[in-house]
Amino acid sequence: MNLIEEIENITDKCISCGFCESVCPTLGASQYNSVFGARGRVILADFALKNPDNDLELGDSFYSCLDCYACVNVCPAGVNAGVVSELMREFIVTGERGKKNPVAALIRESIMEYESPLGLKREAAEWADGISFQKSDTVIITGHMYQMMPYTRAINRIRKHIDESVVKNVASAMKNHISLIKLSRHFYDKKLKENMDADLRNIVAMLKKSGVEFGYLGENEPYPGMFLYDLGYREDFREYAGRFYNFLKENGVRRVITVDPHTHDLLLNGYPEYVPGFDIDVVYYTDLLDLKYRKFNDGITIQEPCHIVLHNNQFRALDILNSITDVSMPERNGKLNMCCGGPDELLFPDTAKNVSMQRYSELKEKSENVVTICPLCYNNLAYDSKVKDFSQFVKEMVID
Amino acid sequence: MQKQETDAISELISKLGNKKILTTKEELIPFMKDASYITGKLPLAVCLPDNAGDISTILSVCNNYRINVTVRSGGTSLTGSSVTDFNGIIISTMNLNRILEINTSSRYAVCEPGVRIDLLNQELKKCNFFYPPDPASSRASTIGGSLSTNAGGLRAVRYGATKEWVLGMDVVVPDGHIIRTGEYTLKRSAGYDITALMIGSEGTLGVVTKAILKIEPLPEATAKLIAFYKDIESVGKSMNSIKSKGITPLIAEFMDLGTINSIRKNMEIDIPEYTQFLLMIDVDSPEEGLARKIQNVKSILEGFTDDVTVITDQNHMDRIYAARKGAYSALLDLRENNHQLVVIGDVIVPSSELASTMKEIAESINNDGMKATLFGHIGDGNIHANIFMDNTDEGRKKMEKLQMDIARAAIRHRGSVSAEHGIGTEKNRLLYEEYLERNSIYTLEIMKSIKKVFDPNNILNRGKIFYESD
Repeated sequence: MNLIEEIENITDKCISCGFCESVCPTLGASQYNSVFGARGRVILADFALKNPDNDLELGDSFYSCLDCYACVNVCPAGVNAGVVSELMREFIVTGERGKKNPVAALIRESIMEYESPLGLKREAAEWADGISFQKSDTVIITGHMYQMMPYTRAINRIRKHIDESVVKNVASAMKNHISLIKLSRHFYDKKLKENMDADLRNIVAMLKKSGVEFGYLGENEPYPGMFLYDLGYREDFREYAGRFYNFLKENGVRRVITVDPHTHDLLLNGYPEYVPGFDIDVVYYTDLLDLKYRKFNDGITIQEPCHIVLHNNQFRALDILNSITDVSMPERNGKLNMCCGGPDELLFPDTAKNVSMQRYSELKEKSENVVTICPLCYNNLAYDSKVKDFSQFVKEMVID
Repeated sequence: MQKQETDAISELISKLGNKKILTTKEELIPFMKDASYITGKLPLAVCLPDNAGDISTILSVCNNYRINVTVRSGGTSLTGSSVTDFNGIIISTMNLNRILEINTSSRYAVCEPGVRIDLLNQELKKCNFFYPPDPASSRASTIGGSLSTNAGGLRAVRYGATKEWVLGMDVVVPDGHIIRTGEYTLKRSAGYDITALMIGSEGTLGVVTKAILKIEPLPEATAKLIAFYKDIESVGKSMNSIKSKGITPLIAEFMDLGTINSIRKNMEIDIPEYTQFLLMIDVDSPEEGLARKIQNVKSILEGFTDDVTVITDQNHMDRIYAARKGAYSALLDLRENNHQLVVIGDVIVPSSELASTMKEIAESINNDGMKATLFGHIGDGNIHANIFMDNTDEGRKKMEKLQMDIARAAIRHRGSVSAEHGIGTEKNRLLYEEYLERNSIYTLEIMKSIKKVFDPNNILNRGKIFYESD
């Protein structure tokens, strides 16, 4: 089945009932401009494929999808509008139809050249300064997610003052002078960097205390290629993932400990599809924690990570939180979970912000204390100090 | 685009700003579809107002330039109501989506048209209340859309359709005036009932911007009984027997085997092999009387079938309820090929006529050589025939003939061609047939005269209810 057939195979099942729009986070965040909602994306994809002569600007609709898969969980016909968006991004990348997004193209270039979407290198490993790791065939893979957040926040602060068309023009120009991406290294949110570095250190400390033996590849740890996968550069991803896998094998890695849901989902489900013979075990760090905790009496609510609950993955984080405190689940939870908006932060910061503010107020209705279990969620929802990353919240509860 | 259209859109942009007026092709394409099989024209623009003043401005500008306007909210119409067959603009009311007030002592809620029905009920549930009209699309459909079609739904057997639940509304009429109809009171006898006139008018008279809705306390305890049958007559007899014994269920739904198969997995119940139809009855009672109520209904059902399943687990009941609500969309899985479309019918007859009407409908389906499945709200006599149509001229003709045959069966049995979906552009001919058969075409003429009073330039929702060629 070629790409077009694959997309049509899904869109042909859609009756346009609109159930998906009722849970699609980006629709309301875009003032109900339907092309930024799940049903609109399916209709647009169907139209674009059936009317090949049209010169449509397809990109923004599909790039703005958060890939949270909330849509498929309410669709009576089992249509996954999230997958339609993923495939359409792949289709746009082929250049057959629609314009490529210059920011996406710039990110792709940076990953292929520097193994980092923002050209980070040493910066991605600074959090581990002073920590000693063992030599082991198990390594922690940070996925660079915690590390990138302070940089994207600072970049978005600048972007707010620049017209979107200028951003796209600058991105187009930078693509041909890719070394300029390294300028990103100088723009970061200092406080957020301190928080994120502390979170990673907390994770390492808790794993060590649980008796887990593992190493860390330091600044040699490559970014795992999430953006290539998410932005539709699947053939590039195939090549890149092969490189990543070979690097792990050359370093004798047999098992990886992931610390964010996006990297976890990618290595667990994406890599085996793209890397023949992928034979590395993937485990989420919360599942290795074996600690005693104090009770937290005030209760919390949590932001579940879409890449765990909506992508059919599992982890023990919720069990741990339940053992520490009363967890009031938000109105939309589990298979109806609402995304934090994080995945749109680089390309559609306004949409990301609108989604995150809506989710933040929903969470706050349940409890003052919010625990996130993903660096993107934390970055997008931490509007006050009562929002904490799992690693911070749980570390504070560990009995020494 | 003609000059007056370009001028009108420029004026709209200058008055409302370009964020509220969509004009690029990729932004307009999604508005060519709703939940019906009908694809509309590409609109000239889509307006995204967020208050009544915006809507007044839009209508005023369009009225001046004679630009056709189609109104849309959740876009869940099954009759093509939310797409346009004419060159013109679409107004989406989705950004008017606030619940303005909930007053449990006076038993009303006030909300804007873009509020989705399930969201309203989610809020009302926090005070142990609910808004009874319950179209199967309630997850996505909105107060505005349900008022415009006089939507019914699963609970209509007990609570009736939308018209029973609206006290008043604010409406923008085509010249831009904002009018109030009705009030916050449960009774009112003050001149013509314009509120009633607006409900079911399918957006042809004005745009609702605020609605005052009646609300009810939630039933205390509920249970679901599912009975299985080999023939439709026994289903009809079961239902008649329940109602004759003075029991009015909360929900009373039937499904044929095709429908059952499309949602079988999601219902998570054992279904006997012989099953051709099932009947789903929800009952309610104060907590202490529920067991007795279940037993009463079960005994009645067992007079007509050997197999009755009782479900009291709320989560399981919710899952079955959700599966039934998704039945129309799930039927797509039964298509013979991807080019087939599913067209949903919506006739209604008095409950006592149901079994005989169903038999005639089944014969029509057979005679016309079409594939169709049947489900519906048996408690109020509403039958949805879901016709699998080949997307060709011939396929469409065959579907239209079957729709007409089914409509005539309903009319013969003292029923109507549309129970809760409205007429849209899809059922113009069926509506005409109903009044023709009743020897009352003049009723349609009166309706058209009313339309002229509200919309003398005929800009609003053209082609809806009354047939009009482009």
